[in-house]
Amino acid sequence: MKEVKDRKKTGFSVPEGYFEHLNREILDATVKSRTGAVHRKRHTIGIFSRIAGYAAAVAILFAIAGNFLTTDSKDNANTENAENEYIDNILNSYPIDEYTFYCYLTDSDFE
Amino acid sequence: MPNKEYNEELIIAQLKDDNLKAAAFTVIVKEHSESIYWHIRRMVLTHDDTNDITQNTFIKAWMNIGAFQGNSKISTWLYRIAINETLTFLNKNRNTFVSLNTPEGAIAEQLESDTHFCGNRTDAMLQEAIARLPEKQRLVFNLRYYSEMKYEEISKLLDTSVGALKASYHIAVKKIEDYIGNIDIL
Repeated sequence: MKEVKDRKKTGFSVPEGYFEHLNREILDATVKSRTGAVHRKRHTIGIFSRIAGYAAAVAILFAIAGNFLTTDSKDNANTENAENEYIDNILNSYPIDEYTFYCYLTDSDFE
Repeated sequence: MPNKEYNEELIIAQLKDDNLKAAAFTVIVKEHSESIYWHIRRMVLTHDDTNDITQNTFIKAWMNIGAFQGNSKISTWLYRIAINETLTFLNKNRNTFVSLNTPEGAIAEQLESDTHFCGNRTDAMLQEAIARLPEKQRLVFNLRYYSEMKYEEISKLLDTSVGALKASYHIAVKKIEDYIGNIDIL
């Protein structure tokens, strides 16, 4: 696609027709928007989803901690198997996806 | 391109009328979006970031349209918002932008590999030299050299004395000349 150069010699350019497109986007987000709210394309997680994700992750950690406290420490091999099974059951019973859990562990999000 | 029929006084009057302000703002966007875009681009270098910051600038202007009293030129008001948005962006991305540790020529190389950069090696090196200036000097240099603003206008925009701006500009030019080795482009 043809590029449109800066009027000053900087080397910077934009795609042909870019400024018409830019103006449309600005006007759509301002005078043509009922709320005047910013319509950004960036992907964000809603606050309720985020809270639900955190709550589920915290519940899992409590369950794991509780399991450690109630398990007989002498039977380590059996305990490990039981723990894995228990964690799998918990993970399967909560409506949490891997990404949400990853976000909780790393304290990150899309932005 | 600037519209010869653009009437600043009329636009300012229309901004105060609820029935006309949307139409007036539409004229403002069409009149100023390109110059605001280029000003931001010369500060942040990349097209995508500039696109976001330009849109945010006009969205903020629209959201605060009631606060604009017409005491300054519309362009000055927009530039002020754009500068705030740009500096906020640069501060947030300080780690990924130019630092003292950025190797010589790295920015120029990055620019040359950018699909939205059509310049030659000298253009890229000039932009690298500018990018390495402290933020205030970059702002002053870009506003004076590229946007061709008068010192009095920049003074109102940055709330800095004309004398300080002149000194800042000349220091910036000297640093750029030193960096690119006295290439005859300024």
